Amino acid sequence: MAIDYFEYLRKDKMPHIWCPGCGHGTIMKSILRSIDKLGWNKDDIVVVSGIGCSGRTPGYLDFNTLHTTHGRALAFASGIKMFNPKLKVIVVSGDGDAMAIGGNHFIHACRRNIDIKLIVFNNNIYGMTGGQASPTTFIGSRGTTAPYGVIEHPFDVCELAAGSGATFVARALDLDAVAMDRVIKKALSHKGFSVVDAWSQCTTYFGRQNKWGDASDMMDRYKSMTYNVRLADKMSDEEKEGKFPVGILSENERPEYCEEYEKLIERVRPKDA
Amino acid sequence: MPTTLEPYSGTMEEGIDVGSPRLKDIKKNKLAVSGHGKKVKKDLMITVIESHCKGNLCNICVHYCPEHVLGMGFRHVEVVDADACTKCMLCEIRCPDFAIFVD
Amino acid sequence: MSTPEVKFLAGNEACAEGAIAAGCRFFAGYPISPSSEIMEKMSGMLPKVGGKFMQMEDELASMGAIIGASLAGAKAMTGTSGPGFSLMQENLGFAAMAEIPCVVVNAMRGGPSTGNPTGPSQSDILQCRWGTHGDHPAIVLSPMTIREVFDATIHCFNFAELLRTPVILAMDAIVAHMRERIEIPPASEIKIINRKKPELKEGETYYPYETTEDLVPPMMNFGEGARYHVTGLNHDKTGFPTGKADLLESGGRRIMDKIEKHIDELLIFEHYNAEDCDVLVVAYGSTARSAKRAIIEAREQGLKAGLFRPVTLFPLPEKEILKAASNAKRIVVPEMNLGQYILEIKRIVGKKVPVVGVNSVNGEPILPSDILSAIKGD
Repeated sequence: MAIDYFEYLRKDKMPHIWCPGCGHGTIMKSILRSIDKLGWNKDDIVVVSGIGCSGRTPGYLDFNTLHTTHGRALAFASGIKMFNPKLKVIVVSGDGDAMAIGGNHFIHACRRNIDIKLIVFNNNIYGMTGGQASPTTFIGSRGTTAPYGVIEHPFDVCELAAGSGATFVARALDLDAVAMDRVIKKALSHKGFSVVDAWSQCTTYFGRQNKWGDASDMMDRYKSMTYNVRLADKMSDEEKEGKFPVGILSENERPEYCEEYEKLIERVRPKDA
Repeated sequence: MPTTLEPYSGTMEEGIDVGSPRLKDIKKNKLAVSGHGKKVKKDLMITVIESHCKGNLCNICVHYCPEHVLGMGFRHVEVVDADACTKCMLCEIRCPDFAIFVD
Repeated sequence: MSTPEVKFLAGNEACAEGAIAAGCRFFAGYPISPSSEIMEKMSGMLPKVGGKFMQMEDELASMGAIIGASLAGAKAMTGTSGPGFSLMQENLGFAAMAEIPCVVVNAMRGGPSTGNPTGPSQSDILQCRWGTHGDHPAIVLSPMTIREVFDATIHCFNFAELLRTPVILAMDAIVAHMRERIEIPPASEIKIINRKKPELKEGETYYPYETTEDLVPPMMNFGEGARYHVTGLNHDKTGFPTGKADLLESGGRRIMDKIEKHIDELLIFEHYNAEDCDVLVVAYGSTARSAKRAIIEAREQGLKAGLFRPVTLFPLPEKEILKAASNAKRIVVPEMNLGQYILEIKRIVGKKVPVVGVNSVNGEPILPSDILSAIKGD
């Protein structure tokens, strides 16, 4: 075993409810391997989720876990982190949860650069509710609410995060789970708001409605839609056309929100308090 | 040449609920059978938690094993050619269900 | 400080002072008239006492953030008005379901919708009780004077911590913005209640939602070592979701029953000349000030009028209302709305006594003369 996963799982809640072939379990394992490598104390870790298939994640993890309302995970997480910055706060959110109803909280958390790690379990669909199109569903693909194909342009999670000010932005495929480990480990240790756009295949809804095949077919297809950002310089524009870069897309330093607020307290607090 | 394995007996220790045991419990109680959870060759143990594996509906580990070590059984994955295993760990790393582990 | 401090404060400012005195160390909010001053004051006061302040991107985030902070151990508060209060409903329900203490201030303005942003009303009262979906408890307080705003804010925090539930301070915009002299009591005279912690033996599991004798489960904060799960789904005592019929029933009833069980600790009210009255006026908030003036004038004219003024609007002070109305031949309920609390009064007294409302939504206070006319029966 790469690590003793069961150390971090609520064993009586396993096996999990995700569909056969769903990539969410792979991403969850990647998060656990990264936490194990970083040696974090379980009592200090808080995992916050929204609603959806990704929303079930915290229930399986033996940390302080919070399953919030749809799209609001980042708001709850901001309160937790702000009041007790010693806690390590990880937010897991789906593409609909983070990009649609939670879009506002997403961009503001990026802007604040609050030290929270957001892993977007991006399966390009609303899985839990039966396969409706989401803001990241590829144009032309089907969802139950887009039976003739989506005509809206989708969000690029990473571009939105970078544009809003997130200081660590990365994308990873669950096919390349080893690369995902590296990316998530860096995201977890980064000080500031980190966003990982983790692609996961929804075999039951997205895959079936769009006839993308089974889990491995979908994972291969995702791979063909992406390129490694580290090879970008050596690739021609035609090769990169219409494809998503994978890897650490941007990483920089900016004052972190909770620390800045602590400095503010130091500045204004009466010295005799 | 695949190693001849003991035939699948399909038994678990009586009364043990196959929830989600620690690895040492698997080894101790032989919860995964048929060549799983046993040393299949020197320095290699492939463990399958059968109640976690989603079988043919998933098929990720079988599909991606570069050495064709694994095969899909009736309800869960099985080790068919242990000798070929190079411990690349791709099956464990890509499995979403905490169903297969390589040591 | 051992002597009271005298200040000249507006309601919003007194609310902020009360919150700090109660131990509030986290505020998240969004600007909205007429409650923005609470947020502004908290942004200045909190860092001075080591507390944390966040201006969030909307009211939904504000409510979410205070719930998160409360789980991390904070006494947390937010402030808003009608439109923002409507946005907070979903997360308010979450706090009620997941039993997380927090305080929400609703400085009521004219509605519905954008309404009258700078005019007062009392038209969110029933929303304060039933705004969010599902069978949920609500504790709602409505203060009348500036000192009462200060005290009621402290009560809100105490009730929230005592019962592990969100508590709403519903003050109308008049109370929020009017200024009065206030004597702030010294800290030693202020009673503070903190959330109950479990007494766990070595190796004993913590159950975040177990049914204790007082129906309020003890609460551990995130990071204190319990590593438990909190969800808005119906859950069992472990905090994990359940769909079992008996657990849904018992859990759903317990979060309502816990309020009833402690009702005597929650009811704050005032009687004014109510012992021997023919006409009982039931009024709250700034309307009660007009009512008091009307009662004084009525008494001068020989009419036996009295006032029952609930500060705790919900849970309903049913027994006290029935008692106060026992000799009355008429009940008058003035409200700056088109009749909300009157519906509860009518329900409580039934056919025993005629109940008459004095209602307006004109964005101005209800005049003592209007209440006096209703007392006289014109």
